[in-house]
Amino acid sequence: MRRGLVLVALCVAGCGGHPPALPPEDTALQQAAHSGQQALEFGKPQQAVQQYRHAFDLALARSDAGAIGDIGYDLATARLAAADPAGALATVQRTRVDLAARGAPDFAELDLVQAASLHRQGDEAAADAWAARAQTTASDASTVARASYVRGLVADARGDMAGLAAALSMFRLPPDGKPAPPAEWRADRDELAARLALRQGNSAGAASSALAAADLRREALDYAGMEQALVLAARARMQQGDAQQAADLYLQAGESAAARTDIADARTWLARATVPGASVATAQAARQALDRLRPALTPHRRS
Amino acid sequence: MLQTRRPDNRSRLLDLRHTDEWVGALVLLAAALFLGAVFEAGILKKWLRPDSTLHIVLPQGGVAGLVVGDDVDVLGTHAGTVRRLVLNPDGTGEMYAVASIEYDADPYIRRDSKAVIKRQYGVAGASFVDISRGTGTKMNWDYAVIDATAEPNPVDTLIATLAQVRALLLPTLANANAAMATLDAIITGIHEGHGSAGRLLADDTLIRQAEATVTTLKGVVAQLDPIVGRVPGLEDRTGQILANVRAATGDLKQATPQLPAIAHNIADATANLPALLTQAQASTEQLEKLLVQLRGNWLLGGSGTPPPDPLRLPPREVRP
Repeated sequence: MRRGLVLVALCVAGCGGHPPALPPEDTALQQAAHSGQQALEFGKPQQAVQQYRHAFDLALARSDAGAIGDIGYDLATARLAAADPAGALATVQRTRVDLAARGAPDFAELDLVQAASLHRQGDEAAADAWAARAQTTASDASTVARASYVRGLVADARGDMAGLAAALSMFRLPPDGKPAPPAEWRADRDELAARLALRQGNSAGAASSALAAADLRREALDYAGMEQALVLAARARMQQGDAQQAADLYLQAGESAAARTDIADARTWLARATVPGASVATAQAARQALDRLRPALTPHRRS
Repeated sequence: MLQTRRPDNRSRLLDLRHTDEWVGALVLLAAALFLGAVFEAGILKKWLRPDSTLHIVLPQGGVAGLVVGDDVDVLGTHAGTVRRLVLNPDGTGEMYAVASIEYDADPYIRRDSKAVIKRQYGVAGASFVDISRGTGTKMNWDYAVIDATAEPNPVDTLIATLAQVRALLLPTLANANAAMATLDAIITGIHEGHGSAGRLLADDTLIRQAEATVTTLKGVVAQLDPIVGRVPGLEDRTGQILANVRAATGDLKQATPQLPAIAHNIADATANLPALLTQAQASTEQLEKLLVQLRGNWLLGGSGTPPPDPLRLPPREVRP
């Protein structure tokens, strides 16, 4: 028995080894970037902005073009999540300048976040141009898909059904269905399909696609996106003439936004949940939720 | 026949004796009288001490009535005479007067002396040059030059002042005339009952309304009396509140001496916070690395050390 244990220990020791020597990494930079990413995942975009700003300063201190590009893109994304599209645009611009000063090219993700920021500001033409550029220059399929989603939103905002259909056509499943696309990809596709169906007057199809998109957003932990899909479904139900169902969906979206302290959107959607035709219980719940809301600034707002 | 009278010898001797002496004495007396007269007249003095020549540069505006023969005064007394006026015919050069100055006045006229052309009676009379006493360097009497100014004529000053007063007074009179016309129009309008003021004078409705308002105010004041009656109770409550505030202030005063010690303790505690945070961050980082290594250990079902997370966020985080 004792010999067996010694043999096992020797085998374990023999299987051990030294990992290959890696260059020393900037622990402070890595930690700040990691903290920013975690803050963003926890739904704290303001804290993410603080962490990424610190990380960006550290990247500038390193004068590392790769880190500057990555952290600049992260900081712009966090500022966009913090309802600061103007700040996101300024960060993108500064990142481009810093990359150019170091002879490094910019990348498609910067174009993507610039397009999203411009769409938030209502500059749809410029947003479509930058999203198209990201579509054509991106080497990552998920970036292409997200750029197509942005172009679809822009087309919907401009009432461009052809553009919306073209954006939706970019979401093609692989022939054999493998690998299965991630939930975000499917949620983007279903939301664009719902918007197109709503514009085409297919209210039932729009509601179905929007509810599917809401489920996928929930699965992907994108609760703000889920609320948008629920609101889209509520619009489809309202177009169908089903005010009661629409009020229920508005109540779901409003309560989710209120729980996330997105007060402005919560007020809007809870107020819509009290429209004529809503059930008494839904309207009462919406009024009680409105009463619980206090005036406060929204930490996160989507257009 | 003409008979020649022959004087007696005695008278003849008297007539001829000492005639030449008497004539000589008379001539000497006449010469002495002449010399005395010359000396008394100052002619000799002038020969011995000749006058100095002073060039007085006249003002460009004119000679102010100065003529040849006018006096030159120094220290208020006569000290010379204007001998000649030189006016340049082409009008480009200076005008000057040549004056002879008595020898006694020379020491008082220096380079900083001022020459002023005045008139004897202010506005009338003969002109003269009044030279002030100088205290600077002595004048070079080989070619002495001094600038002169003309004393302003009081009449000219008075006329200019009157012109200015007239220029100021006429617009004022015109404005006053216009203002009076406006005032007349306003008073006429008020008298005829135009405008608010006119209606106030012509119509007594407003007065009656004011009387009604005063009557209403009396009623309001009567209603306020019960409220005013509660003021003593409010004063009592205010006194109680102030007593409470005083007690709270006393407690605060007792606690104040401990504040520096509390602040010192807080400062000591917070001074260690940055180092503590850094240590906590370092520990967290090491712990995270350990966990990553443990997860990748094949004994725990891992498949080696996973690659570090990329710095760049996935595109799905870009939420339009």
